[in-house]
Amino acid sequence: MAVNPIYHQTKSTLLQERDWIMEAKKDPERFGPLYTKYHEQIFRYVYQRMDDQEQAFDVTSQVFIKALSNLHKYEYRGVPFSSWLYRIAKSELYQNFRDRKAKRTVNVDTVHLADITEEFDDDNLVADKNRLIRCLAELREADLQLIELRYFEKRAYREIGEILDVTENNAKVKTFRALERLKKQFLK
Amino acid sequence: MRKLNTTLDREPMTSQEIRDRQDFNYILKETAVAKVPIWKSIWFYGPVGIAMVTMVVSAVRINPQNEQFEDKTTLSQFNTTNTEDYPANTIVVEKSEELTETKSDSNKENETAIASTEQTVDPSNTVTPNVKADPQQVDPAFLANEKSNEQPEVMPEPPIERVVKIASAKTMPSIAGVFNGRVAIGSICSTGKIDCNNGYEIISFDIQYDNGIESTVDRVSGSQIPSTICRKLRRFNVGSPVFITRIVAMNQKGERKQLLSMQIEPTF
Repeated sequence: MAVNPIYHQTKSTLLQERDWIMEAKKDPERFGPLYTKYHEQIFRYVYQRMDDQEQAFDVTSQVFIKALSNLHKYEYRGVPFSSWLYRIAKSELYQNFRDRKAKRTVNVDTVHLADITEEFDDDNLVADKNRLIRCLAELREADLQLIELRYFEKRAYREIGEILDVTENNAKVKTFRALERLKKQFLK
Repeated sequence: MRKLNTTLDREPMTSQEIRDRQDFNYILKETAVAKVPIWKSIWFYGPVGIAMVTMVVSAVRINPQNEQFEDKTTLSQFNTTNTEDYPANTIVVEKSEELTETKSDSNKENETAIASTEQTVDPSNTVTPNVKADPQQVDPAFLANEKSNEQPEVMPEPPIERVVKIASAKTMPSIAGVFNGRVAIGSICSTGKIDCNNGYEIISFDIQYDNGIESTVDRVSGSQIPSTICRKLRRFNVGSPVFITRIVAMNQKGERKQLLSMQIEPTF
């Protein structure tokens, strides 16, 4: 399975990121490199959960405005800056849904649905796309988020852990359990 | 089922499309606008808060109306202070130990607040103002000097009831027909007596005056202002207010009342 290539960073790139943050804390205009680096990632994360492209761009802008406004509170912990941005993005997304009284969106790629059914390890299982989508909609929000992050966005468990503020192993276990529940729902 | 929109196989956006929508200047501009105004920051409330509290405290302390309030506070203390029981055949001399606070509003009853201790002396002694409350602290030379200024004996006074009724407006004390205002010093010292209507006789009162050193309060039994006090009134209090408070009167039936306080201003 392909994973998000942007996430994987060497130690030197992480240190460089830290320096950018330190400089941006003193001068907001130095936040530019971080914005350029993470804008696309954050936009794709937001757009994956929204159906309106313009709204997604607005929310992405809000994420960076919030990040820059609260940059003085950020503490470097040896993980990519994107982990913090994802948490802000999640918060802004749900705020946007509340403000607009809008429904959360799940963007499903049928190719990825096949990846999920492969994980069910049941050769006799006939993949029914529509039924699987219905089952996804019935999942709890936390389980749906794990499936989404892992199978639709192709993120590494480590990155999932950092976005959800859990360990890599915990992210793996939780994703497995979420998949089990989806399977149970699908076979019902 | 949860409220959820599902979109199948949406057209993916290219990286170039997303990059074209990047606008860092907008982010900078919005961040500057979104910054917390100074009056909302916690740093604002420290110095400004302290300054405000200081101003309010200063205003409260400087406000002259509060002085009146303080007077009323002491007045309430005064009104709740019960007259002490005095042994028979004694003259009671009281000496104030704290500065007396007064309210000099000529339209209102003048009130005096005192914190006093009492000293019981032999009936043969005269009323001796300015004697320290503690007999052990009394200067014998001073007492001897004062003894020479003999005064008529004050009538022995039985203990006053602890609950003293406030006199009705009809029962008024006066000196030379004056309840509140200027009185010739000659009139005060010639009669030296506080009169009362409605068949009541004054049996004790407090007098606050300037003894040349400080403002002092003496408790006097009877209705007569002692000559020693009279001399000091003549010498030090002409043109300044003298307060006569805690005036207790008794009628022929033995009923006692506390009358309204007086403020007089001795004049030549």
